[in-house]
Amino acid sequence: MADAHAMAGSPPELQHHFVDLAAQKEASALGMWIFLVTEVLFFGGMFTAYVVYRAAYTRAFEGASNLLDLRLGAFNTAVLILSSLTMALAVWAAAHGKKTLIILYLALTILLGSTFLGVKVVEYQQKFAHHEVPGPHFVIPEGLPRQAEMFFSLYFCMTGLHALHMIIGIGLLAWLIGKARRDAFSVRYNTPVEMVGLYWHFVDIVWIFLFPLLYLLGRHTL
Amino acid sequence: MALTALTLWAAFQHLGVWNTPVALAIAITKAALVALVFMDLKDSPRLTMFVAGASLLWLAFLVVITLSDYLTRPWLPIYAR
Repeated sequence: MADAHAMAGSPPELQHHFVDLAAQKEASALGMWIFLVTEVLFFGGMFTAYVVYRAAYTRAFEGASNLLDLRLGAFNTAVLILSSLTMALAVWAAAHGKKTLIILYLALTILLGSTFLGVKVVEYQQKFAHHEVPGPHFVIPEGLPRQAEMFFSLYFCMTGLHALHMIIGIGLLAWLIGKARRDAFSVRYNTPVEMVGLYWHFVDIVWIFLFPLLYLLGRHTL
Repeated sequence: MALTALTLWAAFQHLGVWNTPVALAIAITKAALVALVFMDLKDSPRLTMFVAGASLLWLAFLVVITLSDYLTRPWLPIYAR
């Protein structure tokens, strides 16, 4: 039985401990989802810290939130959702064995992801210029309680961790393009594209929550 | 995309205490759409759905139990700020 796969006809991508490629793929997907659960809790810790401090210092948080650039944040939200779409299209292309399309959609996803990070760089730069980065050079914004600094600490931790995930994601996408160019994917085997897809969509979901919580929470007080 | 526009509009409305719940409801809808359609959760095996659901359960534990501490501290006279 153990040597069943060594027999002719067994696909080269199949690891010997799986019955067939379908079982192997299901195991990969399950493993990826379990990893994403740990990621949910990783970000969840920060979201919880955010909720606790926001409940305690509502006014400082609302005021500081209004200092973020809403247009850049909204633009980035659109860019990231679009990149999720191109990622989904790349997964679709991989499932149908369309090599050129896989590479095209992955490249588009990298482009959109880099756009997001580029905008983030501009935003961070503005924060440094306005002395809104927590630390010795932080200046408490006019008319706000000093806990505004707490908001910006959380802002940088949460968006920074998110940006780190984006950078890792872009690295994974580049790796996928390399594999796709070497004809590693086919209709039969395309699990890596799908798994990176799951990761990319997860990072998108994190931003879907970060955007309203960081950028929008105080707008109704304006 | 439409939901992003909606959440932007909603953020500027004066809804009293309802601003945050509305923003969160829209975000949860968007996240659910991404998970179900893009991440293909709707056609996944039961076990995968179960694992994805477990993340929500543990996240709820994390938030609810933490808040049950912080939000009730002022109730005690010795901790009252």
